[in-house]
Amino acid sequence: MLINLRCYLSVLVCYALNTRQVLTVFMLLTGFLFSYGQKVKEEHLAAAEELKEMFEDSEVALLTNESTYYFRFDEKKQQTKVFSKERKEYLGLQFNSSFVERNYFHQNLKISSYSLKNYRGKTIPHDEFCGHYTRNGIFHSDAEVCAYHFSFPSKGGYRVFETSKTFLDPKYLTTLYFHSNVPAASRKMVFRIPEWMDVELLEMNFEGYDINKKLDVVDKETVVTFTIENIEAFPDESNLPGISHFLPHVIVLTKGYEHDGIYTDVLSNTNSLYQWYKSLVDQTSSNPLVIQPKVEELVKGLTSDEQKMKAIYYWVQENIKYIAFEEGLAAFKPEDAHRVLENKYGDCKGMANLTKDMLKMAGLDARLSWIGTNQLAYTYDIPSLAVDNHMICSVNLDGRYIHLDATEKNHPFDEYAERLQGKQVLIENGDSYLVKEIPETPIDRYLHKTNVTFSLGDGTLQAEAIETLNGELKKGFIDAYQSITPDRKRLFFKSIASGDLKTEAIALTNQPELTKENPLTLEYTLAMNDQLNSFGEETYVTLDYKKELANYQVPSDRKHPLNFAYKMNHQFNGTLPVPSHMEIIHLPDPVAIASEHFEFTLKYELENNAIRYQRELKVLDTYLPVEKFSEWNAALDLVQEFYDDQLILRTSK
Amino acid sequence: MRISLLLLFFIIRFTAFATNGVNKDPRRAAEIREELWARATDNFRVTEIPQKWEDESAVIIAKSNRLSYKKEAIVAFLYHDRYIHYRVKLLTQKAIEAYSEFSVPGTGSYRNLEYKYYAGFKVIKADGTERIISLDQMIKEKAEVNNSRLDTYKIAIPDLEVGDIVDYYIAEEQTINIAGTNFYTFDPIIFELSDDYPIMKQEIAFDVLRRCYINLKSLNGAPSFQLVSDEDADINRYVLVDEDRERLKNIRWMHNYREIPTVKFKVTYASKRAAGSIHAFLGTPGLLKSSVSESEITEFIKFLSNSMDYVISGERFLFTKAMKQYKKESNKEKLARIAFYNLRYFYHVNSKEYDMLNGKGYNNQSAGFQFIDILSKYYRSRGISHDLIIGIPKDISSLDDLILENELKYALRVNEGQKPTYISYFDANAFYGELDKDLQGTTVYVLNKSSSSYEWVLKKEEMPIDSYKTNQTKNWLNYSIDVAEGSLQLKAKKSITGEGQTYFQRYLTDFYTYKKEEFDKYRSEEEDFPDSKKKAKERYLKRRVEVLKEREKRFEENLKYIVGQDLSVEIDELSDFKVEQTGRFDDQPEFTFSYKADFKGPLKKVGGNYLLEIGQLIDGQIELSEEEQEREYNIYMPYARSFVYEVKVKVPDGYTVQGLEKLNLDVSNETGGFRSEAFLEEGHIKVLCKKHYASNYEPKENWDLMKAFLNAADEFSNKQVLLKKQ
Repeated sequence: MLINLRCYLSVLVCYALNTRQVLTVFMLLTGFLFSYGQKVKEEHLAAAEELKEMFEDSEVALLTNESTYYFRFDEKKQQTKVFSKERKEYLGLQFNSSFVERNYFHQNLKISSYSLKNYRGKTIPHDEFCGHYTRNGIFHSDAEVCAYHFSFPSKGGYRVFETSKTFLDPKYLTTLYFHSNVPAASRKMVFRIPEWMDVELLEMNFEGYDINKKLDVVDKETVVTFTIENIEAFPDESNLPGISHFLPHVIVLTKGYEHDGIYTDVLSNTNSLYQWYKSLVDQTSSNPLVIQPKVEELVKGLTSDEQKMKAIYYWVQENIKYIAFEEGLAAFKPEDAHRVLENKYGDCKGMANLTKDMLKMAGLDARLSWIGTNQLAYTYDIPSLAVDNHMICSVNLDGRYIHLDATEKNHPFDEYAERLQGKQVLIENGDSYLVKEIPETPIDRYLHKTNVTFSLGDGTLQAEAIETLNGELKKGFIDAYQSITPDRKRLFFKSIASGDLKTEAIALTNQPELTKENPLTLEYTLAMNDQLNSFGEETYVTLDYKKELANYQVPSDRKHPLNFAYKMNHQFNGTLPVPSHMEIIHLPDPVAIASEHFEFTLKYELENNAIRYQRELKVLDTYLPVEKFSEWNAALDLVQEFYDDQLILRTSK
Repeated sequence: MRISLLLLFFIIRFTAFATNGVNKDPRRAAEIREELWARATDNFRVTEIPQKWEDESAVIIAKSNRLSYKKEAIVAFLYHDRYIHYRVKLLTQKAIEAYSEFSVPGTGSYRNLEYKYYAGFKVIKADGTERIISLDQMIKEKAEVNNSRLDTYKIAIPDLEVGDIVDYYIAEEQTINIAGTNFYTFDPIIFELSDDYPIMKQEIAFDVLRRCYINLKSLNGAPSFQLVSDEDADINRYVLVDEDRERLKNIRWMHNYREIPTVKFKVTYASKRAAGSIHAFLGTPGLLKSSVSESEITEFIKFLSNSMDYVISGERFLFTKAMKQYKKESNKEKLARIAFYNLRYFYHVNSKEYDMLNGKGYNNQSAGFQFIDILSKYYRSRGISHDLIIGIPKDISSLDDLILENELKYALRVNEGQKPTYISYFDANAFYGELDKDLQGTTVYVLNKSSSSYEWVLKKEEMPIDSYKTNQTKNWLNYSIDVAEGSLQLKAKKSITGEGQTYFQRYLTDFYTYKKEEFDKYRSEEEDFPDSKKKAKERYLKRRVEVLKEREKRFEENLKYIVGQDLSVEIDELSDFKVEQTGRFDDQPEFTFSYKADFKGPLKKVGGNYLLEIGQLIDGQIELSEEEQEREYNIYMPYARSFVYEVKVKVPDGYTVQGLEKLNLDVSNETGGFRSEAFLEEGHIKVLCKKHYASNYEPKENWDLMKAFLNAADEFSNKQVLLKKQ
């Protein structure tokens, strides 16, 4: 994954990111649950054959996958609950296959029962792991999983998994996907909604999928049934955007319910979402005695609001370690600011809360803000806990909002991480709220520029270069730089500069500095042997030793959108004076292509007996939809052809 | 460090805890804290670090590993405690990241073991103030596998800043109920004295009491252990003190256990009565044992060999029966060979298809000492002169540093015919006449197994090193060029002898690759699954069809990946994969396969011409990085080896070739060589390349010689030729 989301507010979509972890645990078990000699029903074998034809890479598939959601009122507890029943019929598509079924739960989602049986209805032996599961970057979460490892006797082997679960609070039932970990011949999702229940089902990304929707009324309940046939497994391609952008799913909006004539709001609109968030924020406390001295120390002598903001923001960035907790309400409620300051660690909510309290003490109008990173495709007109996964601090500076995300360790003030750009942000505003948008960072701020003066020497191409790096590209290098050992630091800069060349070809002539505010500037000289080739009187020369985006074509069998870690703006300008004893006999043809997603310009020109090389590669958007793959690949093919081509000079007679 | 973590993993892996918690016994927790913190040595009170390490990410000011092994009199309990104590100065944010979260297993019990875990964390600020971190904040990470609890406890260390010192310990106290047994062996441990950060002072200490035996050795310049006895407390404490260790680096062609100061040890408890009958190189209880005598090894081999007679072995039974047909064979060399291949058949082929089709998968594990023993006893019964070779893998230790029985590796040598023949691999692809790469060039013990065991005497010998010609990979690579598409079509054949086979056989062969050749030789019945009933047979046959279908696809996918990696290209299509020879017999030692592949990349259109990156048409070459130019350690390679390439590229019609003369390179010296020559022949570019590594080891002084040919090969890989439009 290019994107490494580091802060989540909740674990609501139990998407199988955790497969490897669970499998590792099972690999530790010595026993292998192979069932010898079990019979296979002819119809299952035939179905397995058919599914194998359709999904040839799969070892296991679902014959049927049904889940039904019932909304019920718990008289005893005087609250609404949602009960779910899942039934999955698995078939082994080949001999010697096995599978791990994962059943997720947390404080507000309980497993009532489960069973795992063969086609005769007999319980099959299986390994079981139950416990917390960890995801990248999460220190502790109350999300738990029970995972059951079972095998299939042979092709057509049949296992049926059933489970009943209860959502203790309906707002925790948020998004439901049609895809599973394996392909399914039939997928059905049923909602039984009593007339006293106010529920809306949002159909997301249904276009392009043959999803059938049926509405019935049975026993005063609206029964909504979605079905789809022959659906593939969750994609496992690299560099995927968040799945909410492109996979079909249903968002369950539990708005409220009526009981004994009284309407109770659950999450009916953005305001009720905000009010719930706010109720949690209101539970936090602040201890100025702890925070005040640090604030005074940081802003001492600073006069402008911007200076103060920057000082406090950078201090939190650099001194509070990101450690994520997701437990119970703590998954939504920020830690008290003074506790974060004392601990010097916190999750995104804690860091946002500390930033806010410190800025307020410094006299600024700072507020907490909720945001969904670009992993999520939603906006705040959807009143759901699924809509956001992150918290930051926003500052009202005379009506202009500046957003501060202290979890972004190496980000400069007033610049926004790629994952936040263009996203809506829900800002606290007393009893009401504001929705703003994080500005997109202009492509110029991503500039990576290399200016080179070349000269042709005796069998070598020599050069002097100045290279500057900005934006997320530079930020990534700051992260990497911090991980390397001291003896490798200078080599690190050379390896950034060298591109396709060996580091020995580079001699740095400046002392590069990596800071979050300034561009990284590398000054160096180059002596390149492999960039030119002489054949008789002709000399073939390649000036570009960076060749960004070379071989960046999307594989032809890719089925899902592509996500770039960040936008790109690579520029390369080179000048090569033509030696007096040589003449140019070939310059590569220029390339100029532009679309809404990218702009590529590459050209050689002859000016005053010097070759001027100019190359600009701009990737304007991080999300490349499938329908743009052919356009992207065609453009990249031209870039590749340009890169492959070379200058040809001939010794004058 | 790595091994000790493995130990921790081992504990987590095999234990399940009935109760949970860290520092569960407050009295003991206080005692440990008192001992490790209040009564810490001066090393654990230091706050300053040497100037030379100021740029490091962190510096380990002090590190201590204290282990104790004791047996109470009368009661059947064995106690094993381990106290790990670190004091680390954090100099960067990255170090803070590394030391701000800890995970400790929970106290509990499993079968006859009881574990108690204790931990303490404190932070020393730059101004000298110390703050002990409360463990109340520890978070339980639940984990339960098949009703066994494997919980761990996590803690985040608050208020960490650059310049802080983290001083922490994790203690594990184990009680082992050994009722009903009179000995117990602890897992062997290897400590490398270098860590991920430089170390100012470190100490490893052992308390060994009552009937505990300890085998221990300091290696590669690691300091020796000193005995510090406390007779009043009945303690024999052995202490190693070390200081000023630089950080561990990751280096190409390196055997850490042969170069980095290291300590290896193992502890065994045995009652007086049991000690005499245990064959694990035991010394005197409570005293360090750092060497193993030849007679101990002989006794150990006798024990191993005798114990094999009590193991019921279907393979031995079938082998003995099958060998009866060779009763009259008088050529001992021939007989030795026949016996090896017959035994290999019974171990790896005879009934393996049942196992595979019953879901056990393809298993090509080495058969181990039992195979050697059966073969050796048969050889002796037929008067075949042979030796048992007893050595230690070269990446582990030298023979003089042997202290543990599980360091040993065995091979056979048949002394019939014109020259001795080694047998040292026992897997399905092993053949008669191979010398284990791990023993080559090492000193080993040789034991004449043709004689009676009471006559056994160990002799030391140096094992030969394979010639680079023995381990050879030959490639015939025929390319044609599709100018319009800018692509290359490759028709390739690869033939590998020696050690290089293992990798390719692993990914490109399975049971069915050699089933026919084995059945043809060693099996008389034609029928499939003769021992199964009709229905089971039908089921097996069905599964076989499935397996056969799936494996072809798998092999081509594997090969596509391998070829793509070797040539550094994206293979568009790979087809026609065929194993031409399995390389499983000494008279046909080449593993040979062929395939076709299409790909783009090395052909670049320049104006109206093409540049062909001809150096990219053979396997990728090693590109030494700038920091590899100097070498501090000796060079340990897996084996001597060579690579031969015959590349043929058809020149497209209408084009001429220029630049071939640049492809003629020749660098050769005592450490190896690279040679390439190119010429035109009948409308084809022909390139012949040879690269060899003369030995499996070179002293560091030879690094410049190695660099010379490695750089020549790398230079070749960057060569291009011009296909000029006529």
